[in-house]
Amino acid sequence: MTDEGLEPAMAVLSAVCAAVVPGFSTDATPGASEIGAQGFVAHHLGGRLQAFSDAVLEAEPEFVSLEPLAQTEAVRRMLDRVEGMRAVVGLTVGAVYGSWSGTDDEAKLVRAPLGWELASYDGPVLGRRPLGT
Amino acid sequence: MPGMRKPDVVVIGGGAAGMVVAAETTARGLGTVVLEAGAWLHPQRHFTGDEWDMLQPSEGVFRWGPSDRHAPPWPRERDGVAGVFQIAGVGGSSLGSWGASPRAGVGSIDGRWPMRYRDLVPWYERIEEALPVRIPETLAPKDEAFIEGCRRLGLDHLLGPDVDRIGWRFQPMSVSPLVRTDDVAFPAADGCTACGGCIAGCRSPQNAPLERTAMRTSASVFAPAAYATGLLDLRTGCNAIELVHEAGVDGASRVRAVRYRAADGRIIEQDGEVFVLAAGAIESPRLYLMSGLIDGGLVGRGLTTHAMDLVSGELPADIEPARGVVSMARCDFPNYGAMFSMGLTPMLSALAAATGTSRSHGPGPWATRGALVGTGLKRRMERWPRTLAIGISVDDTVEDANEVRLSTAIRDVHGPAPRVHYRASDETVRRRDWLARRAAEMLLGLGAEPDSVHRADLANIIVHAHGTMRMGRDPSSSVTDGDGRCRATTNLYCADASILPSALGGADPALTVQACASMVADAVAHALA
Repeated sequence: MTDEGLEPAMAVLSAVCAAVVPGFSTDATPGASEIGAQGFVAHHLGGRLQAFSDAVLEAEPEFVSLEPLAQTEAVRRMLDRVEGMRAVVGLTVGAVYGSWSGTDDEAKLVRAPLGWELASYDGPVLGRRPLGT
Repeated sequence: MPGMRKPDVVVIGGGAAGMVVAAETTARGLGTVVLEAGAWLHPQRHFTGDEWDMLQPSEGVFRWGPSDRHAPPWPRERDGVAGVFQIAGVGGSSLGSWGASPRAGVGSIDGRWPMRYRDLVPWYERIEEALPVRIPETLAPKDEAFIEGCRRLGLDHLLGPDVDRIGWRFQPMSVSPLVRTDDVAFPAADGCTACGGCIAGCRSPQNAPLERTAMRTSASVFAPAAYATGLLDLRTGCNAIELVHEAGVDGASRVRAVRYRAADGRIIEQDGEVFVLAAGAIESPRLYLMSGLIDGGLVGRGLTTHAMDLVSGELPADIEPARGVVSMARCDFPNYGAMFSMGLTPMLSALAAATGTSRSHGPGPWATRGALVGTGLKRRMERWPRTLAIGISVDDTVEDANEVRLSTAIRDVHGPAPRVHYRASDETVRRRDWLARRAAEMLLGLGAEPDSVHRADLANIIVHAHGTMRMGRDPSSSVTDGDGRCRATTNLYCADASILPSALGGADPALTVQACASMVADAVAHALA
């Protein structure tokens, strides 16, 4: 299927990602949409994107048009009903709270990833302040 | 010279158990071949420190698959199981551990194993000295908070390594002492630098040679020791596909060779005098079953896990979750399992919160349970610096219906994939719920915001797997005898977590696996004497 043919499926995926980690549409801080997490998730889904989208719309036909908070509730309902939903939630969380959003095309960390800023985490280091001090 | 004559011992699997066997057989002058499916990874060259890059199940460095990360992972069929965490590589599962090395509970061995706990102590002591296992002298803030929580619950402080009653302890750790220096590079820093990156693979101190890596694993301790004898022939990228056997005496089989696919794709047969399965509780029974050896209906059955869960809450002050070894304090509850402090990074903390389930029974003193997504997840993660996570490890019951068999639906290039089936028994669920309530009570006793106490109710991802070729005295209920020898053969042993007849009281299995591997190595050496 061409990229254009996958646009509706990407729209569904984008809405799911935004429901897992909301951004400025409903929250004061950025979230999955602002860092394009759906691209990261789609890469890992590979050829399963369309099937995932179809499964979401079969379970929740109005999902894309729901209000953001309703979408979050719908994601929660679909966790054990829609194949791949739990994996998509995990991938979205990995995209936001892992290093990905702070890396360049060569996977080199070049800025603070969004999730690390949101959690006030300085990232992996080779050592920390000695214990007991 | 290794490779030039028939070896005394062929070990299938160079993981946590296999390298212990190899270290001990080579130390006794026995020529030993080890066939390892993964690579021999060096922390300074191969560990990136990026937890996604290291741990991602399909592409990560610590995955169950070929060392070429562009190649797909090796598949498994799962029934009732959300995932199976295995690591291919020298050192195996010990590579991704956080160094927790407690002994099994006394009551989890006495009356359930073919020996008593005290009979196993010499091998525990041997491994504890070799690694070595230490008690931390200084704790990280998260662990100090955990211990204060134990005190407020009125729990006793236990000293010594024997787990025979309820109480809390400093975590026995196979981690070099924490260094008190601002330098993180070897040799100025020669020990743990408190970086908190254990789960993604220890690479501290910076520039350390393998043998000086702070995390004491089968890769950094036993593999170098075996290699130094000159009697080890370690072959990586090699997948065993069949134990070639022939009729032996008294109806038992005798293994003549192991057939394996080498890294270059060639199929090779390696002969030997004695063969030792050490591929883990998923792959050892798989290979046994693929080989058509006498099964007796027991091989692969009785799989136990630790049904892990996580309860967390926000304390009044920052506790620096990423500082120090991941878990430096624990509390054991015989007949139930264990709780331990956990220092989780934001990604792992968020994953645990977002991918929970609703499989537990009944209410508890937590405000939320199961999957946390949306603004609830974001608000929780903003308070990550104050979040204490308490891990739960359950003393799982032994159910023969829980098993590893051969899949009829999925194959990989080596043969039928393993089919892993697991359902927690009602008793395991009860114990898990009980431990989760204790953890929540601890957090509330520490002043955690009541609205913040969250039970993840983690999906069933098998991290610790045991019991699929369990040892015992009674041939009708055990695959291996008390020496780890497979009953249906004369020269095949099993030395990994497959032989453990119980779930150890919920204790992290690494030390017990290594101690049992040492015991089996003694039996192998005796048989060859």
